[in-house]
Amino acid sequence: MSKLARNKVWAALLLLVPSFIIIFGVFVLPMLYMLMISVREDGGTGAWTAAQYKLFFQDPYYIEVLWRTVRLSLWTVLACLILGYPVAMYMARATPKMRGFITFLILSPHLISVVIRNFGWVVILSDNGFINNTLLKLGLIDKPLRLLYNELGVVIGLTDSLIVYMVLAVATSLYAVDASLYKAAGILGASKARMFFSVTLPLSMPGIFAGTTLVFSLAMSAFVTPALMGGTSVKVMPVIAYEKMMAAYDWSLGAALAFLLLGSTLGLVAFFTKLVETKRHKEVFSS
Amino acid sequence: MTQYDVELQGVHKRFGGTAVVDNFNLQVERGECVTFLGPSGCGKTTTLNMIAGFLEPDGGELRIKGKSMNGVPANKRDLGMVFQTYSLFPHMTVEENVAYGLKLRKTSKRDMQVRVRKVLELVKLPHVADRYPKQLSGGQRQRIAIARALVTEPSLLLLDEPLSNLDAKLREELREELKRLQQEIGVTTIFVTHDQEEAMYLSDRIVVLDHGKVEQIGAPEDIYHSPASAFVHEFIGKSNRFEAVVTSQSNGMGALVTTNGITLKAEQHMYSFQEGERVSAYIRPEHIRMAAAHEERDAKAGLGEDNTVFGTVRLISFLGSYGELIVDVEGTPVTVRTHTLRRQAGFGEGERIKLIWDAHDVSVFSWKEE
Amino acid sequence: MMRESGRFRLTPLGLITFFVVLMVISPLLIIVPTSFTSTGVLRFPPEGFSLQWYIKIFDRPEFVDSFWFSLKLAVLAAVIATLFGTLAALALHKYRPPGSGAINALLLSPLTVPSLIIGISALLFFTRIGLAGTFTGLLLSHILISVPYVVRLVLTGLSSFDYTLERAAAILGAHPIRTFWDITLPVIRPAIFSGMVFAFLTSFDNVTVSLFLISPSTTTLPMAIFNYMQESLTPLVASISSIMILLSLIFIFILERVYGLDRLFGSNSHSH
Repeated sequence: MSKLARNKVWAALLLLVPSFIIIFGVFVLPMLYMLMISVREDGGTGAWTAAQYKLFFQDPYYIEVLWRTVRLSLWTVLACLILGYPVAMYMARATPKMRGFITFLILSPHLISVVIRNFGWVVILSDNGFINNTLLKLGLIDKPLRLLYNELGVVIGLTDSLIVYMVLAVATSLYAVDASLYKAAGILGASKARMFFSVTLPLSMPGIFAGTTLVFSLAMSAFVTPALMGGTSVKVMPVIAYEKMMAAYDWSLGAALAFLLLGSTLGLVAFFTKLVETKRHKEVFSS
Repeated sequence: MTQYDVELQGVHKRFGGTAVVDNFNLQVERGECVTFLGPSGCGKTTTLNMIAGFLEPDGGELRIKGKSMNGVPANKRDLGMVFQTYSLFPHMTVEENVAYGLKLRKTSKRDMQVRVRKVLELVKLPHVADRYPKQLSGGQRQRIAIARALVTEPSLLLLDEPLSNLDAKLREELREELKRLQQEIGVTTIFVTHDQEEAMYLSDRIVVLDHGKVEQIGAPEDIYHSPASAFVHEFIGKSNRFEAVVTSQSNGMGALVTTNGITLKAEQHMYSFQEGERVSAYIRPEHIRMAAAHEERDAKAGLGEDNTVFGTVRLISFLGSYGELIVDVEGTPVTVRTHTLRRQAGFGEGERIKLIWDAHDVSVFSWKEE
Repeated sequence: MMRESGRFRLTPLGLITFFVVLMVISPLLIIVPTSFTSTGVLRFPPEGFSLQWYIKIFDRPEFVDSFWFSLKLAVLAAVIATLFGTLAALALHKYRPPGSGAINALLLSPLTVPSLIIGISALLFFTRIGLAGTFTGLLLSHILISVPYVVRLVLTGLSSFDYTLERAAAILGAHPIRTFWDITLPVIRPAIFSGMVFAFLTSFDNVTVSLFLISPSTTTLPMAIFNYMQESLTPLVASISSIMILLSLIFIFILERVYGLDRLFGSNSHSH
């Protein structure tokens, strides 16, 4: 390697040092330490043990919590897809200016704390909230609908905060679809429905895939929304991990729960990837 | 002893395993405009970057104004450079862009204003001083880039394909402008381009490069009329190429037989060919004259050194100042250019005509793989 | 089918888009009027008009204190993360060291792990090294979650940076440090600035990491609201939230002006 090239590598390393210190000291090392705590006794120094993980899988309560977390995340993905896909389609057909405007509108609430957005939903969905108030006044119902502090409330809250990822992922893949394809399909005499199923949908699969995995992962690890909109009855993995850590001070179990959450999310995403990546899909999109 | 403004002695540079610039020797005199010409990947830009100080040569000696440039960084070489992409600083006004080099040289404010104004007038754009590069057209941007390069009165001006991002008409306009400026200021200039017309228009001398090797250094006329190699002949201008074998050779005259059986006479120029040797023979389209097949005698006949072949006209194109014919000669398409395109009986497509050219105009080089 | 229109069209797709946009914005739209209620009941539409819930914020020192605390934390985290992230992005883009793909992945890795898990692991590790519950510990973890955004934004900014500008400056006589200061930095400043604003908002809004690292003396505003909300729901939350919304809106406006929000998220809606 020439002197100049060596100097460049040194310069690069020097500039990277501060970030590396942060990433290693506050992320990589703590993650490894947490792994130790979850698999060794006496706070990560004693004998090797799988007790925490055994405890989890032998207790039906924890299995129920994990299943609930997965179930709510799947509902959220479905809601985001059903509501988000048409928005992405609309954006793909709009002018760049309109696209920018819609992007701005759905992104900007994202920059406001999730605590506050959830609070807004509480005002809308609670027993004397906006929706129940309106329906009661119109005489459509005679006692308030239960929209909050149950699984429905959690799904509404999660959909609100995660739909933006689905919309942008799908929209990005639709932008890449050449407009001439639609014209070609139109000339060949495809109906609108046919055009959707034979052109739009297949070509947006990478976007759907990206959006789905992202929304699912984020829903699995969401803490604030289940805590604020699910109440005490809807316990999900992040909430019980928090309780074990901060209320029961059972750090070994807390650490194990964190890894189980991470592992189950990655595992399910991998499973889903396998499921979607059929041969044809791979051939078309692997490049 | 003459002191050259730029001197390269055995300069070479390798990237990975390949020699990008191989044993480059050149002396540029004061006020000269020298062009590096060649296809992409020929090493012209690499050489320019070594002169500019963006790259270190692996070996050889590079001197500017007699001083060795080994280990001297770009910012200490006192050069002016114009880039293909203009490279004006987008966050500075035109005035600030042009003044930047003076500011670095700690020129007094008054002096700076005077010189910026002067150089903007030189490129005929004094009215855009307060604008930002974004607000200028491509041609204006390049003029400002030229002004920025000239304002420090550099010892050497480097032009890295400065015209290739402009459309055809602007390119011609700016080409004239560059020539005027170069002559007016008399700054020693090194110009890099892949456009031979630009090279011939602007330069005192052209360096033709191919695969890192200097193929020929010479005035534009010499390069065109006496190419030193098969590559130069093919790269500069348009040529008809025949593969042939030398059948006889005496007194600088040779007889060749092409692969499809045509007999050619050729004078020996740059390359001395031997009897029985496999060669490539070139003839430029404008050196071929046409006559109707039945005309027994060509106007120039009687010189005795002419080549005469018969062929069938396949395609006639009118290109403004000249016309071009593709003539099929024994299966080989031969291009003929003429300023008097005769669309008359006997010269239409599909008709048989006679092609004539002087043995003097045939260039012969050692046979080269396509 | 591909007819383009600059105006909103009332098609089924347009209708759903309108509904979704409304859904995403409505929680915020509803909070502000609610905060002006004259009663003690949290309801929409609100009854009466008063500023009493804004005045009452000052009766709760925990909100005022945590606001200033959050502000201090977010500003520090943003400045440090911007400095670190910008240097890292420059290293990656300008010098392209061997393995830059892996380094890039490492720098962005905190984004790929749920922040809840980052919070738990930080608590465990910080307890071990004596940083749990300290301001330093909280600050470090906020820098960690902000750095990836800065790296990504500055890299995006650099991707359109033309390095011949640096060559042009060098030829004119500028030393590399002078070149960086006069040319490179000003040209990529919008990207750096956006990275800083984004880092600020990331820290200022964070709950899931702070959750594990705060102490009674170091509580952030979102945490204070979160804790308060779990005990009681009064219009006080609405008035505090309204102030936070206003603050965030100012930043969103600045971001949109300087950089464009969609570019911020790597969406290429302007490319067609």
